[in-house]
Amino acid sequence: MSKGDHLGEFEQLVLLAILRLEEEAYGMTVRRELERTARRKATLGSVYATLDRLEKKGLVRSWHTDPDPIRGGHPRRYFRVLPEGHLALNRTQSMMERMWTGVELEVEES
Amino acid sequence: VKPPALADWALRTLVRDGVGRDAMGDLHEEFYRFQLEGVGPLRSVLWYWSQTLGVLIRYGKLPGPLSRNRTRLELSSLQHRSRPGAGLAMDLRWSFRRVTAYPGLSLTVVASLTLGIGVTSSVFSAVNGVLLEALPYAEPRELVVVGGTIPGVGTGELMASAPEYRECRDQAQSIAMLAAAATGDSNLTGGDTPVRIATAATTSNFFALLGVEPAMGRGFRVDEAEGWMGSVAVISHRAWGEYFGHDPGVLGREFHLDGDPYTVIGVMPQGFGHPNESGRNPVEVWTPIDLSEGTPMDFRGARQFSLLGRLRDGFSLEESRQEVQRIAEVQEASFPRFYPPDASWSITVVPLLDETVADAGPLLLILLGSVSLVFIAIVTNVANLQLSRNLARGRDFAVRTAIGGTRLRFMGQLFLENLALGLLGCAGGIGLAAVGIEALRGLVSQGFPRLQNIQMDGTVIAFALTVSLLSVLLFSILPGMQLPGARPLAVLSGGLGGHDPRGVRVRNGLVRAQTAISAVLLVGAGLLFKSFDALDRSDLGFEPEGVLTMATWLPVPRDRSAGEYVDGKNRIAFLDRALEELEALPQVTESALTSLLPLQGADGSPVFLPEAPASDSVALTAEYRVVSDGYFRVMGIQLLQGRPFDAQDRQGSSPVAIVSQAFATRHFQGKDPLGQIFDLGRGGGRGLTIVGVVADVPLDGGSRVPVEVVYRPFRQEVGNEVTFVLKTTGEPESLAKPATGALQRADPDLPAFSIASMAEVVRESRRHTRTLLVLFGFFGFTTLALASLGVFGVVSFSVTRRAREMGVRVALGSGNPGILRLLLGEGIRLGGSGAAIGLLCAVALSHFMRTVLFEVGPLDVWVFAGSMAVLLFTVAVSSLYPALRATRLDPVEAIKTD
Repeated sequence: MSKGDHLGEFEQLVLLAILRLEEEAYGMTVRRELERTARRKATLGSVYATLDRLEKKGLVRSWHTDPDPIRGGHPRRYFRVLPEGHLALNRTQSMMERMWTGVELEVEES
Repeated sequence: VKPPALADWALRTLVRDGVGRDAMGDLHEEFYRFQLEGVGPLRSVLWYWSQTLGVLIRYGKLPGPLSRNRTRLELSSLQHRSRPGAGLAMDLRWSFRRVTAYPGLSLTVVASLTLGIGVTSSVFSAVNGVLLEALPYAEPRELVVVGGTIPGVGTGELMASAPEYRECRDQAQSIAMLAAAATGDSNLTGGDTPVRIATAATTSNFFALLGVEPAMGRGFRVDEAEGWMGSVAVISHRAWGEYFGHDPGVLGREFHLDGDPYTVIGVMPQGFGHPNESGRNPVEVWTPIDLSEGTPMDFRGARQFSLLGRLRDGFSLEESRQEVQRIAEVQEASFPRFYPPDASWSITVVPLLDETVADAGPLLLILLGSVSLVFIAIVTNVANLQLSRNLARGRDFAVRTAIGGTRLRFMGQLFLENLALGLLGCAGGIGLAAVGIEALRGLVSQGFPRLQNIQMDGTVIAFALTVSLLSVLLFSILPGMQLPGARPLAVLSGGLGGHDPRGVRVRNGLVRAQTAISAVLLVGAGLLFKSFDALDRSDLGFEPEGVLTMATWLPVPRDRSAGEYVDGKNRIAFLDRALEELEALPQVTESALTSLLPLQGADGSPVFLPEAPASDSVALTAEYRVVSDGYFRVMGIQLLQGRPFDAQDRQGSSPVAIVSQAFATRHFQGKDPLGQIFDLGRGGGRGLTIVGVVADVPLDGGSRVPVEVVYRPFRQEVGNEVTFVLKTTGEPESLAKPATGALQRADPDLPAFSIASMAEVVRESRRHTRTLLVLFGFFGFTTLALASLGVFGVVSFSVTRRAREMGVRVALGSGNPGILRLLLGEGIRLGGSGAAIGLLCAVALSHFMRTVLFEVGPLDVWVFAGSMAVLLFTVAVSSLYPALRATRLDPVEAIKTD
């Protein structure tokens, strides 16, 4: 597996957030999901940057809706994970599981 | 509560297309959710801003035609602030890009700095080498000149007589050692050729006092001068090479000074010079002299020694002064005959360095002051150029401020950017200084003290570097201070483009001032140039063309019986012989001699007229010259009345004189001067009958005030100093060698010196005017360049600031001529008003130059008109480039600018 296929931690989190949000995944909800579930503070800017990168890698797809008045007349940009994204997540997960096999941590979560 | 408009503006304008709208939509949505959830308005707004910032960091860009890529780099560099080094590397890259992004402006800045640093460093090298550097003696700070002054009778020179020397040496506790030295010129014979050199007779402790040993041989022993003067000599390194051909066996060689024999016992090291000597005429030979009681020089009235002392440890200069002053008081009381009360005798102690540079100090400091002003103007100018450039980036800075960039960091970047320019300017400046130092050495003339010390060295380079760094700091801080960062909102929303009316006023005022100063200096240079030209064309009263001059000295040795030229008859016989030899040269049409050439200064004598009113208490004086028969013909001095001297005017015949027209007019107005009889208070000048009147010749090169001169025939009265004048058909300089040969055929032991064409003598006499002209011209054109740079900066800035207006004008059909007219008009109005102010100042100031002007009125119309024309032309040219640039603006891009 080449390094290029490897997903960064933040990329994994963003991909997972999109999957969890199903049809409601756009910049702000992804950010909120990261904050709520992963307890990760993230700025909108960094979320966009990651989403753009994932789209460039061909792992997600985005499309715009019609302008929305509550958004100051701006459209929403929705995201969906493509099959390639599923694959990449899967690869990363199995890689991590392989690495975890046989590892016993001597820490207690408080 | 609404989302902050400025943040939205930033998202709309400063964020890459698309992302801004998405972000704004998301942020608005979240912002309203916050309100529904009851989040406080302050927190909401802060949150909104922080999120905007995050987007800006990743997707920021600059609006309009301004840079697209650079900004991303700058903005993204902000996020690396916490990582030491990363920010700096980023800044360096950014600075480099900025320097190369504006090659024209960068070049202008580097060129100005090169000029400024070059000129300042050149002058500094002189100040350092002459005023600051330690003298090349042991413990130079302890060395002092001790000497009497008699201000009451007008001499401020620090001289003393032998008895005064002994009293100071024996009585002053504050002075550890005291030496005496008398300098003069002597004929040196016995070397390769006879030469005229500067010599010093010193007490035997002289070299020990200075703490410098001869490089070869030894210094003087106490007994070597016993009685009067010894017959041993120490020679300079230069004399060893020039007159003794670097002979390794020079010790023990014999030579003569003015006919007296000496043996070489030592050669001083290279670079050793007699204290306080003239750069034109350095001392080549030192001989010992005994100043004890009863020796021939032991006469209280003969104050011809300079005293050099070393302060004793623990005594201050002031204590020493008080001590020698007490000695002076005792002398005054004990020998009233030698110290008349109105002479105000006193002795003082002056550090040797101060005494050495006494005359040069003020000149150098004035020069340093002037170039410092020029340099400050340059730095201010550069600061202004930078400011213009930075104001064009007002938005850039405002955004950086808005998103948390600090002024300090921005200024740091400015500093790095300027540092690159400053170092380039410094390198150029050091190169220019190397040239400037040579020019300066030529300009200040040979008589300047410590001339050889004016050179490029480590200190000068360190100075150039320091000045560069300081100026870089200065023109980084100045524009930084004026950045409109305090009100980013106004800049970002107002579309002002960083326009600051106060800054514009300051800048315009500065340019006006520079133009005005330039106008004053140009007028000065113009007046001097016209004077110089008039001097060149003016009637000197003599014809310098085709005349070679050559001096010699008829020596009188200590042993007078051995001196051929002690007797006046022998002097006359030799001179007749020499004139014959010279005239026999094929190139020489006629030869003559004089005691002193025109333009070479004064040699006066009291004049007593039989009919002068008894009440006239002011002594009459006239210039006194001894000449040969053909002198007036060779020099082309017109005989107005009577006859020239001839062979009949000799010793024993009736004493005669020829006077200048000014003399005749002044003393014999309305009467025939011929046949009038008067006395001279000098030599055998009693009962002189006037046999001729000649045209006036000037005494020095700068003035044309008619001088009263009395000429005497050399066969009736001749001294030791003689200058031959030879009329030739060819180039006078080519005659130098044959003429020297002819003189030495007449007497092989006489030196020929000061050999120069009369035209050269005339040029040399105008050195003062020429130096002034060069300085005025230099500063005039430097300030002109500065003013031109200033106008360039202002008009360029105006183009940037009004790009939109220009775009609209072009779009509305205003052709290029219209734009050109507008911008040229702006530059010329600015420069023209400065020039007008300057010319008014020049009208007020130019009369101070009256004394150095010749045949040019201080309000010469042509000079004033010419200066104005030069200024306006320069200003127009400086405005032309930015104006042309404006005509090439793409109207669409330009309108989008704001």
